[in-house]
Amino acid sequence: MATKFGLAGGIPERRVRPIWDAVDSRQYKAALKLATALLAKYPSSPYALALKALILERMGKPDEALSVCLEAKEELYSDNSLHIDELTLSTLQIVFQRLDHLDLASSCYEHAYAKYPNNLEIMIGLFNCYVRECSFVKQQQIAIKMYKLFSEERFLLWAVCSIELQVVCNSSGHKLLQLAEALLKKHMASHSLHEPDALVMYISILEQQEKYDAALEVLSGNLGSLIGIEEDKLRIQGRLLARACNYAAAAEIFQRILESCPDDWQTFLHYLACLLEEDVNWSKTNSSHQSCLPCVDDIKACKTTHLTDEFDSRISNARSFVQKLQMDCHNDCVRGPHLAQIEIERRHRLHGIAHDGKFMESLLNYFYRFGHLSCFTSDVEMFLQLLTDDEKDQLLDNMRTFESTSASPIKALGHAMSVFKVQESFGIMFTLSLRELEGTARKMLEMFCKGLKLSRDLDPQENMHGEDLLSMASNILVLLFWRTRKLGYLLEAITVLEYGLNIRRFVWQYKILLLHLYSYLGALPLAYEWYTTLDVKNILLETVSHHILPQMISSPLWQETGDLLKDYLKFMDDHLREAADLTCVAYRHRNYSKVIEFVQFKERLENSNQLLMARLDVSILQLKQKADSLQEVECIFENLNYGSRFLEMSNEDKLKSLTFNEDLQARPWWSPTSSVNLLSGYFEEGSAWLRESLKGGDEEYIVKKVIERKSILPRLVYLSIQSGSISLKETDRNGTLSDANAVSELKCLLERYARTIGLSFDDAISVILAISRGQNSFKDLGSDFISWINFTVFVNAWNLCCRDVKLHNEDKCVGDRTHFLAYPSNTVMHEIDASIRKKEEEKWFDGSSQFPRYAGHVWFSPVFN
Amino acid sequence: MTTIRRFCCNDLLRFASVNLDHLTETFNMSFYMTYLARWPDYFHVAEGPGNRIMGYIMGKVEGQGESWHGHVTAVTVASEYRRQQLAKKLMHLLENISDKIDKAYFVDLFVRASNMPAIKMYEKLGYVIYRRVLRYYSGEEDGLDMRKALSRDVDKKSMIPLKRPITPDQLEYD
Repeated sequence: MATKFGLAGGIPERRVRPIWDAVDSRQYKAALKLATALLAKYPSSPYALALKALILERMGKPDEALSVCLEAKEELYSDNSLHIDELTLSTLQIVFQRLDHLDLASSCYEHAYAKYPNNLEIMIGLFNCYVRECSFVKQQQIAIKMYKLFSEERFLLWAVCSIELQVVCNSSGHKLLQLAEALLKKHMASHSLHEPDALVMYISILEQQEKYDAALEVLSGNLGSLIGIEEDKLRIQGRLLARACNYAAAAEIFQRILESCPDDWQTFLHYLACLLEEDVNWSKTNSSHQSCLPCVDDIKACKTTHLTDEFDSRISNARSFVQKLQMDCHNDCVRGPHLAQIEIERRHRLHGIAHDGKFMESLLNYFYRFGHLSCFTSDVEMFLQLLTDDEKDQLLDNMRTFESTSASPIKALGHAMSVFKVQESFGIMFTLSLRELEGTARKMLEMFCKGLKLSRDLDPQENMHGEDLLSMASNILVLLFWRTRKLGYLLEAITVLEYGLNIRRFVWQYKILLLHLYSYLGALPLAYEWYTTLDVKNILLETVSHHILPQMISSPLWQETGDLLKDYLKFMDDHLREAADLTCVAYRHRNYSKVIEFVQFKERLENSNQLLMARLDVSILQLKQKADSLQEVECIFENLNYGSRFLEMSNEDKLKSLTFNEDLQARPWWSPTSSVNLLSGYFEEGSAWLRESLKGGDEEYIVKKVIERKSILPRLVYLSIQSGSISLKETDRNGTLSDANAVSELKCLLERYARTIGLSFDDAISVILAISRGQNSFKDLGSDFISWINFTVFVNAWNLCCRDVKLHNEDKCVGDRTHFLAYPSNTVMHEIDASIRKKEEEKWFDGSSQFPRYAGHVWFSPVFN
Repeated sequence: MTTIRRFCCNDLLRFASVNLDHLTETFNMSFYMTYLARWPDYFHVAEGPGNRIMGYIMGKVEGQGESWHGHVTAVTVASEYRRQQLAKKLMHLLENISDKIDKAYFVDLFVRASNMPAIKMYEKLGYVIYRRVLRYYSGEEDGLDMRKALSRDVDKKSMIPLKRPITPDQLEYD
């Protein structure tokens, strides 16, 4: 930053440089002193003011900074004779941006632009302001103006990107694409194109309009040479041909890519899909943002082929092509062509061809060749489920036989691990007897210990051979616990992992398992300690913190939980604030496809479910922490707009667009989710698979309901507190009207709350009434237990409030559920109390970790979990 | 079955299994995104079946005159996919782009002086220790600046080792 000053606003550089130097070296006090002195000499200089504002902002004085900034802005506007330079504007922009006032920065630039309509620097600055504001239309307009004035390719492409963004983000119509195409065509006629990404954008615009032939023509013309890597060009070409349903030509192109990159799995899938003329959803495989989304979905790729007679001959074409690839490839590390063979046999089999053993044969061949690699099982996982039970046995038998013939001990260990992993993947562990399970776990451990010497010569930083054995053994021990409820197994699982970490203290897979085990046992401080050794930071906060956050949030470790939440929110907020700056960098460096990608990525993070949840949790946590002081609680409420802010944050549209970015791959199958806690229930064969199926949509649906419930809570608490004070103010008749409002809002929210549990308000009330009559118990309500307690607590508050308002105001509409008043609310509250106590006692064993162990405020605690 | 393609933002949300490794640094967002915005050709990811991330390489191209060169900022492979020469493949890709597309003179990289497995691997790939940078890593550990000449540097002048170590402030580039 210190390099870019000059004669700003008539101030000589020698006076400004020391200030920037001080800012750059974080000597803010010294900088402020210098800036104040500068202001004394140039009292109305917008640049001097902007500098001061910048320093104030860095010093953590946002309010003062804003007012100085506004003063600078005022000066800019008021003195028409004043020269406005880019440096002043960009300094102001920085401060406004950090103060979350992007609009004010834009208006400064707009003002300057009106004054100097031909100044390129200012126009670029204004364009960047619109980029930060995501004002795609305004971006487009100013870019077109720059293009008209300077006729540079990049400005045209800025406009084209802005158009594309309107199409992608706002689903604006195809008319805009036509406009973009026309603009590019006209430019190309006279100037051609010079940037690779400009060509990619042009092809994308054509592709989105399904003008595949035109796109192909451009690509095969002179412009095609803009794409530096030949294979990249061929990939685009293949995709366009496939989309144009010219399958034969597309297959040929993909074949060419495979000849030079035989390991390219995506290309192989494309090749096969085209060869078999399958109906692939190519629109998903994406155009300009190429290579961004996973292309063909491995599993679902083989949908429909209309081929009948020719199918067999195409399959044998594929077979011989892949065999040729295998022969040509002497490298032992190229797995592609060998896996391709399995894929071909899978298609063959799925086509209804009688089992000819070839599928199994190809799987076994793959095992013989690559079975010692630790990725063997995940490579073939998608194929394994296709086998019949007999075939599964047969496969395992063959694998075991081969395993014992391995010459090298390292390979033998690898093979043995693959056998275990395949067993795991088949779900065989769930069918074994307790004795067999114990035997297996023991065998794994012995194998690990025996294998230790194989890693003797490895650097201590390197992964050992056989590392996965301990993870697998600990999972079996957890399974044993689930089946027997004997806690000893869990302790053994822990010991196994701690032992592993003693030998290699960096194995993150062990740490994750361990932290889940400790969480399950309620030893959260230990779990947290292991979590911190993972050094989760930056973007990993979004993808990895799900391992610990849910447990922490419902724990009494408020301080640590607060730290976790604050770190996460700071990361997200900082990034979201600066993300658009990086989009500006992409524009500047003419990487247009990245522009689109960045904007979409920012949107994805903005809509993160975890982000919304954390915003709710951090405030709820504050309320919990301050629950002893009504005054402080009120203060917190004031900042939350009395709970209304959360209601806005979780409206229907927001919930619909939530994204789920957690990386669940490393999560053990038995760790509790928001909907299922397998280990707390009884072991049933195959129920692990049930959980697998829950990973998808159902879990997301449940998370949305949890968010909705949490977002209602603060407002419910606030209204309840209000209604509580109403009942104390019996003589005060002035507040009656707002009391009535509070009552009806409370009722509305309770109705919504009931809906999130899946019942109507009336039905929910009936459930509680049944409980208060002793016909039912809270513990019968399953995993929604907490929500029910919350509901009951607030119904009680509403009930109290109704009764009170009714005393003051005979208006019938307020107390329309008077029959509920007939039941003393004490009974329900008593039941809640008893249930919590009971659940507390059970908790240690079932590990559901839903309750703070030492919850001081019985009333508050369930409410906030 | 390795699909090597350009790295994209969404991969940041999927690379945990690679980055949880203790030797792999997770940088701040603007670091990754600046690389993506400026040198997208130098940032590639390797994907296995089931779209699992196997590893990635990030780098850049910079310098003036004869020190115009490709730079490897990070190359990493998930433990599950090690010992399959994936890093080598990724390195070749970056060298190829530096050589063929950007016509750079050499490729360089920094490695912790204690990271023997990595140093050995780079040596196998044709890199030599060009110079030692004293206390390069957080002012503590020394870094080794390793180089490999590309076809444009016919005499391989760029990789003649320096006799004396340098300090970080003497580095030409960040």
